[in-house]
Amino acid sequence: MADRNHVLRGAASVIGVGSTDYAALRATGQPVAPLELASRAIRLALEDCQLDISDIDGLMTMNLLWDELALRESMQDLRVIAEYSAGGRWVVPALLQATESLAVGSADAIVVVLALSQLASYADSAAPGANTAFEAMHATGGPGAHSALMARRYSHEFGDCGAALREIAISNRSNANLNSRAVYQNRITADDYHAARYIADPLRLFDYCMVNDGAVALVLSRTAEHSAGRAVSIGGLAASARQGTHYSAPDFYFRQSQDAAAEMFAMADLTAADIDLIQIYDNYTPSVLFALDGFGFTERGSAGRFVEEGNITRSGSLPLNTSGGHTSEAYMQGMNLVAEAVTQLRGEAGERQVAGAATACFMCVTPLAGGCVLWR
Amino acid sequence: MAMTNEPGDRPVEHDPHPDYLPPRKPWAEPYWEALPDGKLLLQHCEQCNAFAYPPVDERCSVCKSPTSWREASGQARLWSWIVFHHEFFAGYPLPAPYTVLMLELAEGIRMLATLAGAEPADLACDAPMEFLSREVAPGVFIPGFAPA
Repeated sequence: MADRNHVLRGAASVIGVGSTDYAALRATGQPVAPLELASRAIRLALEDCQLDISDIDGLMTMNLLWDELALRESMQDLRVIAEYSAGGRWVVPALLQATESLAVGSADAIVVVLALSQLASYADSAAPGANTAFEAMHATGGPGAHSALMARRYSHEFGDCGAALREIAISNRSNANLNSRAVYQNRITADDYHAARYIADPLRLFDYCMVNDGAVALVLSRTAEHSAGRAVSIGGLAASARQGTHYSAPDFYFRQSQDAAAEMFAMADLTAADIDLIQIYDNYTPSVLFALDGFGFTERGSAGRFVEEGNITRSGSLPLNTSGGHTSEAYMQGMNLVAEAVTQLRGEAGERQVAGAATACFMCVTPLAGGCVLWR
Repeated sequence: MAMTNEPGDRPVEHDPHPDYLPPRKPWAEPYWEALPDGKLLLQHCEQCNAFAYPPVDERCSVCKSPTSWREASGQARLWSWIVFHHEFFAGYPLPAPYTVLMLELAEGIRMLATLAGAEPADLACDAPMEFLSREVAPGVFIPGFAPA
């Protein structure tokens, strides 16, 4: 099933990364407009790859109106344009569309950018499948509540995962402690975790992502023209959707995760065992377990034990969310995780660098699941 | 099923359609009219035998045939539950802590409901549950389930 001749295998590379300083933005206490945040991230990404805005002929936005951004950045003669309602589940589909566009020559250099700001309003609880109208009468709602339902069920089916969720939260914070850009850098202990308030029992405060301001921009181009230097290639990527009435799924999104993983690894001609570090969309800590099982990094139901054994810490066999993830670095809806994967593969992660990291995998597991293998 | 005298309850004004209820749609009226009688009505497809919840204003999502209303068996299996220890929703009549259930109905579909007449300590995944309409404010009924 592996296809080392897949037309998209390694065809595109991330050549530029730009991220705002989430800690500094938080410290000012002043909300910044989404367009301004996006503009800052794009400038940083272009500096990073030494391109000019006039070199960009593709634009993909998340939480941003593409035309407002194009006007503000004086982006002219755009050949490929897409506007996604959010990041998260849309990150892999966006990277796939960018990769395809580059592979067939529809565009030569594409900016993928996400911004989140308190000055904008988002309806996360209205994620597809949330059925918000019929959830409100029970004073519950949205993916965060469904994740808590799934966490309790996962414990029932596969053994108590509470300790694993705690270790994910602690590990994320430990990584953020080495990341000056992270919003929450102070380490937390097991006692801190258990002392924090419940949000939706069995999940507590540190199981949940934060809400913060910031932006991430990636510049993608064809690998053939940028193979030298700091480019990081997209080895394989795939998404698979399985929509249900509710956001929670009885199988913890296992089926669509398996489908996406099979296609992704076949395209990359790799297996899970070949991956050096992982970045998982941790909107809530249980998502890490669902992704580990679903993408085949662990045998189904054993992700909790895998985490408890210390494998996902920075010194473990499969370091996870090395910049602090969504619970500690920033909630940039997956885009900061892709940015961190690129930084690690370039060997530019400083104190938090995973030695010898050559392959990374980003995963987002929701009703729409997606994964992306990157290599240097 | 009424719980207006529980400690911690606050006085609520009589509002037959408070904000936390879904907008009333003509095609969902049978569902709402049955709740005060302690009955759970579900849409049922005569063609493919599928049930639907929450109510849909379209035809059966499986085979697109018209649906009709059927009284549910009221029997379910508890898939999972969560407990809210804090109040996140202004104007909601139930005080924290309150418990929200995800059930697998005998009719083969999943449903969110509120715990009625029991405590979280009484719950277990896969335990049998039965329907119990819960009056959360005078004249306002929502679907609840209790251990069978």
